[in-house]
Amino acid sequence: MPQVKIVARNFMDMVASLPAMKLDKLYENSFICEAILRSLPPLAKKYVLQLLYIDGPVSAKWLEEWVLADGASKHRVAIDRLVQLRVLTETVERKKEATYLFNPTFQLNLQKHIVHGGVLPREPMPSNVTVRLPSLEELDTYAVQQWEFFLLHLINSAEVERSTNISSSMMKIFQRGLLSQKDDKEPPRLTESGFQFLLMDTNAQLWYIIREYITNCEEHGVDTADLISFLLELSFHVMGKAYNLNTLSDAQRTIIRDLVDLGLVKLQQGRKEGWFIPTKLATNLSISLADTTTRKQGFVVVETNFRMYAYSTSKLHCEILRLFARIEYQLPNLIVGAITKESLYKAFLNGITGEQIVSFLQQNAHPRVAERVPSVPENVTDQIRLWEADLNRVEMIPSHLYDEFPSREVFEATCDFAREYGGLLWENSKKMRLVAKGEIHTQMKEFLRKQKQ
Amino acid sequence: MVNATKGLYISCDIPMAQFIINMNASLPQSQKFIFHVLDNTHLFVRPEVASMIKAAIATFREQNTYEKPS
Repeated sequence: MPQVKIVARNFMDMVASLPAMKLDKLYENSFICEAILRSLPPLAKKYVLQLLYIDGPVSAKWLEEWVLADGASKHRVAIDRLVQLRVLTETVERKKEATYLFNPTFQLNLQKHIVHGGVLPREPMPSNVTVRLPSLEELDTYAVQQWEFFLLHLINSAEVERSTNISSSMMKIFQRGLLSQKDDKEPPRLTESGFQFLLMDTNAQLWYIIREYITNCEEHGVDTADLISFLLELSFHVMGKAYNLNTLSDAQRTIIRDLVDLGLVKLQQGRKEGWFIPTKLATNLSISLADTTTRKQGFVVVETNFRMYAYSTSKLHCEILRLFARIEYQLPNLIVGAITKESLYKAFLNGITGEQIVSFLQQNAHPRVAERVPSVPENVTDQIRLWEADLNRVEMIPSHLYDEFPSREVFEATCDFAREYGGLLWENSKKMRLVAKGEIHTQMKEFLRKQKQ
Repeated sequence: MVNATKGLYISCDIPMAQFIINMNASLPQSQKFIFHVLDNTHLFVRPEVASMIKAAIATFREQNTYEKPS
């Protein structure tokens, strides 16, 4: 089955793909410079810091001398990344060799940032005004609630009680890759990528949504660079502190309203002013994907008799578990289900792989079983994989069979030709027969025609 | 002159190969779909029969599944 993976591309990849002028405008914000510095591979960070106070172009040869011979590939990766982000610009003059010039805006801002420290454009409000400030736990629960609510809305609008403020056109954009609708009478069904999206962890999901939001904001009249710089700025705010709404521009205020629905900020109204409070989801925006320091608490216990107990009250969790297990009953704090062959077959037919199910169960294992090795019993994981293999017992490849070769040399030559293209599936030199993939048939025909002459 | 036949290359385990060969043998001559049996785990068949083979394997699999009488 084709493996369609939703890769939540790094925020930085998206920044790197902006056109040159927008990127230069972004670098006027010193927080973005710091965020970019944080996201670089370690060697690139070192280069940036070493070149920070050097004015004028630096020859490529010098940079190469900083690395030992076996670090050449890492050096290349670092340099490519820096050129891609336009931190370094490469110029090759005719007789001399390549030189790199540090981006002046970036350089200036980073120097200022290092010397003066980062000063946010707004300060937290004094506590005598912000009386009903929520505690950090309340803020966390609020963020998780909003996010789950948004996800539920995303996958199944029929089941949700409250209505959301996100306009239906925005919802449609988010749903684009994840849901498909055969005709207008049937409710939209989740696609293969939709299922995989649900089983990803929260950070990866958040990025996918933010990425879609950014790529579509142009149509709403918000400039991509402004949006990215505002989001990055937001990620440097202190979680749990209130910031006055009147320090934001109008465009930023609309963005904040959308972010409330996603659970990134919380809005509160005082007597005269309103303020917003960034949550954990907002401050996680500038952290890279690989950083999984904030592991939320797991809730699933899987037993060796294939029964599953999920200590959760969330509807979203129930929906996700329903994807691959048979839910038997729901108690006030517990969802009881069983992993059966039929439920797994249903999941496999919908495009979920056994590996995704196993990793979902392992990542969300209840703390009671999480420290046990393995957190999900081996017989359950093995059986899931066996059932998956059972569905794929036969592999079929469209191909062509070539026989009646005039001579052994032609046969050998054709075999080698097919092997070079990676299309040789089977050969029998005694009977001089060859099976090759359908994709290279035209090239094979060309080759054989040339051989005849 | 080299002859090229278009078809489907099937790669599976030995029991499945035997199952497909058996299915082929039970069909009347006009509907037989195997061009060649390449070896005991590979076959070369007509391209149209892919869905028919998949459906037959699915029924075979369901026949081997235990359903608890409710």
